[in-house]
Amino acid sequence: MKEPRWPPSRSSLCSRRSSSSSTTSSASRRRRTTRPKEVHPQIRETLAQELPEHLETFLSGSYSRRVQVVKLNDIDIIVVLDDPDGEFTDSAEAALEAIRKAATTSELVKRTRKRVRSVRLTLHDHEFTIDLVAALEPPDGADGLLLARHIPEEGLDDWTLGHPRGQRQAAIDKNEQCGGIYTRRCGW
Amino acid sequence: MRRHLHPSVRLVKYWLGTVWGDGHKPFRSYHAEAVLHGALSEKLEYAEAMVLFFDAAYQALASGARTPDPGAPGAPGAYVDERLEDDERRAARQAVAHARTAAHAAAEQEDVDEALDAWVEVFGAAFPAPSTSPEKVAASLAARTAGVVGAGVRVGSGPPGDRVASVAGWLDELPEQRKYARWWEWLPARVRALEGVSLREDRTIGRLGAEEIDRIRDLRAFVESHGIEPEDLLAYVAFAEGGFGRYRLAAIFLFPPDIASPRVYCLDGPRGSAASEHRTSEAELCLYYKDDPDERRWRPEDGLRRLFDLARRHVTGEYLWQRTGAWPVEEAPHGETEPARPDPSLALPPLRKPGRNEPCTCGSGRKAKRCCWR
Repeated sequence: MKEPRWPPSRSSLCSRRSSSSSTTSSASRRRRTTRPKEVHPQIRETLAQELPEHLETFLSGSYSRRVQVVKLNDIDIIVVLDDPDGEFTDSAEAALEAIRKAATTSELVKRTRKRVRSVRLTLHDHEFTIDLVAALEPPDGADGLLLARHIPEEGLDDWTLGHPRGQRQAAIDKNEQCGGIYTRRCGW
Repeated sequence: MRRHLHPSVRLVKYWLGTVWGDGHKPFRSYHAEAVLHGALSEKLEYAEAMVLFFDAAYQALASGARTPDPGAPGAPGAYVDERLEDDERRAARQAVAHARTAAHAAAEQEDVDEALDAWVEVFGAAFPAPSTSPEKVAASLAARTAGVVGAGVRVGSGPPGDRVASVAGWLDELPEQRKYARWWEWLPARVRALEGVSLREDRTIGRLGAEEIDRIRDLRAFVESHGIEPEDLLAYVAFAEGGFGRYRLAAIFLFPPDIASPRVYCLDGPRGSAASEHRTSEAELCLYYKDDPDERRWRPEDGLRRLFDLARRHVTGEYLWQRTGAWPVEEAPHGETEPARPDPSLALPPLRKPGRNEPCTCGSGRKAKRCCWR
């Protein structure tokens, strides 16, 4: 199996940044990064730098499995957070707010909106959006991840167990078992 | 299966996206993936994989068993089922059953064109479009229909009521002037099924070209009134012979014959009410009665020959009615009536080429060798 694509090597990120920060305007810089696979690494790099609780990010959903059949609508990114003080455990909204604040520092981001499980980023010059899904490691070391659930009108501000890592691994395993007819190679 | 719809998960999602509306999907996208995940266990052809998926999807809906999350095998409470009401589950099961039957039939086709037609039954009229984007689906249809049809494609607008609903729905959505145009170009297998052995066994049947259609006033009037061109019409001609001489009969197929009945015209002889009471216009024969018993119905699988046999019998009946004032065979009532009772004696004679010395099937009373055989 090919090595995971994420995280990209530090040198490739640096070279991308240095080439785009020379003499061009911010608008022309944005136009250069037109492909989704060039956009999501930059957002994830921003989170790694600007979000102190950042532990890990990885792609999820149909984009990560390369199985979308319609024009790309969104890219799902799971953002796993560290929560030593239990602040986020007590409030999913606090986790979403922390992610939102960090994401707004990216020059690619035009608008942010908190949703039930994620922060949706509307981007400059792109029709697709990015959903940053807040996640915590389960406290008892159980399989899966705790995923944010914030529905203020129903008084819900907690976490539910999901299995995005297992789902991605299951797709990879099934693909190998079936000789590649199940799905495409999963991105990271 | 085209490469751009690989792998299997994409095909399944394409099926969800094209055949089902957002509010009617029997499976959430990931639920469908989980069903496919459970069904596949080895490398297969994509057609076989789809058959397995529809089998598993049917079982999932029929048994009511919950679908485990592939990402958490064995974990308690880890299921990916869509919550369906009983009636939703029933409707979904019925539609999946249709898709399953069509998928089985499609997977058995060895001829590429016939297989493609058969998969259209499963995935919708635009298959194999590369996506469910309306623009791309329209482009795909346009490519398949030589630029005749290029807009108004049905995409994801509700559950299919039967196996041809997606095609019928697509026709519904077309602009009026495009409704009757060239469906046969993207469903060639249905044309072959219609023609079957009929053209070979009955040499009086032939397909009409655009110039011939344009020369026949009744057909020209039809295409002009519907805003289409003669070359857009699928039409056949045959002859009826009898005491009246020789009449030309024409059948036109505006839609695939399993969606709507063809229209059949008698192009010669008396017209309108002078011909008989059983005409729907000057030349169009009233061959169908909505409450006809099965033995009197024409079905697409009966082929062109039986359709023209029906028409021959009809014009022979008209001829006798004109001479005697009595309709010689059973007469369907007009207007709203009770369903006709089944009567095996009314069934058409079995489709068999008559012997040389047997009476001709056209009803002329002459031996076949001296009538239509000649």
